[in-house]
Amino acid sequence: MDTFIQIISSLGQGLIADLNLVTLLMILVGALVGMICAAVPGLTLITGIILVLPFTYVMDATNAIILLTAIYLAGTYGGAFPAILFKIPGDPIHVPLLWDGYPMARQGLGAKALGWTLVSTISGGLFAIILLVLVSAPLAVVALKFSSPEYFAIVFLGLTSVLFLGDASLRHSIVSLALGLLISTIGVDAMFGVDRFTFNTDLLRGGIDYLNVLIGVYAVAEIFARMEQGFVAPSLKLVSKVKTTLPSFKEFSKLYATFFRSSILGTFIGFVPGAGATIASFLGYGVEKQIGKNRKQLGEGAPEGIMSSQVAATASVGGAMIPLLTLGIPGSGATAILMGAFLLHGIQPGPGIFMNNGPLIYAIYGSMFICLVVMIILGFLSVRPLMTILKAPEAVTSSFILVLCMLGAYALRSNIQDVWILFVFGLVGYVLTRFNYPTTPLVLGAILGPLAESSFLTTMISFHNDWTVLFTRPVSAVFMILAIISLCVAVLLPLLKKKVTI
Amino acid sequence: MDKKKSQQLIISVLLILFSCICYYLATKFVVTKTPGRLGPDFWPKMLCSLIIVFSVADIVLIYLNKDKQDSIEEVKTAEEEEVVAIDKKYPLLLIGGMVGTGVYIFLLPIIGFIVCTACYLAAIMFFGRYRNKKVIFGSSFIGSFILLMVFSKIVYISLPAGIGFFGEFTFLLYKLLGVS
Repeated sequence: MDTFIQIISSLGQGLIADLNLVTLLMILVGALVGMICAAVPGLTLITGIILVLPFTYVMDATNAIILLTAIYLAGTYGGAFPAILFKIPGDPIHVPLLWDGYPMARQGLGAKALGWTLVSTISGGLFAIILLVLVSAPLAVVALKFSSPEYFAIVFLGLTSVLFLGDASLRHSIVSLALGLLISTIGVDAMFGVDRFTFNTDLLRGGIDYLNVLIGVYAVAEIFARMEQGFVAPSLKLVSKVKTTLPSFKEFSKLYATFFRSSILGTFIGFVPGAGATIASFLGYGVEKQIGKNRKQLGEGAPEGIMSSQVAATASVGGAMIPLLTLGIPGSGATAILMGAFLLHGIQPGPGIFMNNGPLIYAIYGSMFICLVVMIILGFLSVRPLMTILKAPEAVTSSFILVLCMLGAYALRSNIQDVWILFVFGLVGYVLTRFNYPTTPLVLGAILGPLAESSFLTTMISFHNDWTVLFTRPVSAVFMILAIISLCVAVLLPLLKKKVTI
Repeated sequence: MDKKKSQQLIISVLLILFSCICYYLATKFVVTKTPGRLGPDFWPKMLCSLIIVFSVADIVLIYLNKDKQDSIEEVKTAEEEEVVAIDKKYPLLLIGGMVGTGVYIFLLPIIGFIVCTACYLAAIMFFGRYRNKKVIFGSSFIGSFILLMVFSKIVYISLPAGIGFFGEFTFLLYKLLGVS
């Protein structure tokens, strides 16, 4: 009970700390950028965070993280407008909205579809943020007792789960993951002080910043891919009025089962490293289609279809923040950039963050609640302006994104070599995608590689190369078993699918 | 063997070659070995081995023609045919964009941010098949000027100034903007 009161009191202090002009402006700007980036095809919420990152270098840590978190949160919402009104998903997260949101709009219920999306976003976000606030501090206390075997087991679970979450071949996923882990070994080894793959260059001795890998593979490679498609602008045919009408409380309360199912699922998916809002959105819809009360109507304009995917997508944001803040393990591209922003400001996310930077964390939590309120306001006011932005020529926006990506890489160390590294990873990302190698495992490998290696080697050194220790300590054993299960699923799932096809 | 399979084969072979080189480099790490203890070469060697094993498996499966994606003959529906028609590729634009980006990074320290970026933005827009000249020139020059302003006056990051005449031009610009 004392812990609960302490958490609520800290949250109250965090909320009060957020009530100043600069922080509120950061939340507003973040929510706007997130919504715009998610709405414009070719941009994603990760691109939005990447583009804003260099501007946060001069900010204080609290405002910088609040700005990036607001983009992350609002990015799960903005893409709903073009998906529902034009059948163009601004972000892959919103593809499931095409199946029910767009048909609803075609039936003349576009305003209601947008209303369901807004309510789902806010309710899903609220559920996950409340859970984040309540769970993270006690979890961090538990995590303080974790040692290298536990850390390795958790990271290993993250690395294996990314293998079965994608739809690429398992072989390609493993190769991509190993490449990412290999990239993370470049530089002076932290444990032995040995140069690895540095070719006697100072730049490589410092290692390859995972932000360069992430920006290159996600943003630059994506623009190269769109170049190959000739920057074809999607045709915009409006099928409904540009307006948002909220469902009544009675209508909402009828879907309480969908809400709870998707909220829990979304938060859990967010918690699992490697799985982000897109997977949460698809799984949320998939589960509803399997077990939902109104499952037969799904795909014909049912509110359950909108709610299941949208609630899960937004709830995944709160879920993804849990491992980042309590364990220092970023599980997705967006949280990896947030981790980078923390580190750039000299703050190490992990179990100690609540003791060393408690007010900062609760200010971030407070800002997430405020951001939801801002999103409600923007949900009513920004639909029309967002539709105008959709008409911006893609060649113009893409050229500016490329320059901003390169500026972001340059700003890391004020070194042009970093821009070359970014360019190389842009090419690598393009080639891998072109030949059906998924890039998410590569990025996750580059992010989690140093932690995976150091925790593994420390375990081996501390326990005299006895790998069974990973299975004899209760916490690490649980995570290792889960990792083995996810590996088995990754191996068996394609075989089962094949059998079903035959 | 069709084009897709040969390309896949080339990628797998390249990955194997790359991993073999990395494995060899890992054997050359300067380290004093402690018997019975894993060294800094263990992790990279393990990863290289993983890449080699799975890339070899890929090649074997390509030859055995057991890969699901390749073995199933796709029957295109009318809708898919339409998507293929829309899904036109522009390889020249892609190569131009990649080469242009490489040239931009190469010239950035020589020409300096403002001129180099304005030209690069205009080039990408033009090669990206956008033809509104007013927007191209206006947005590229104004855009790069705004970026210079933001990064030098707000973010405090010194962008490449260029050398010789270009350097003098950038510093003159900085003087006019009041950047010290």
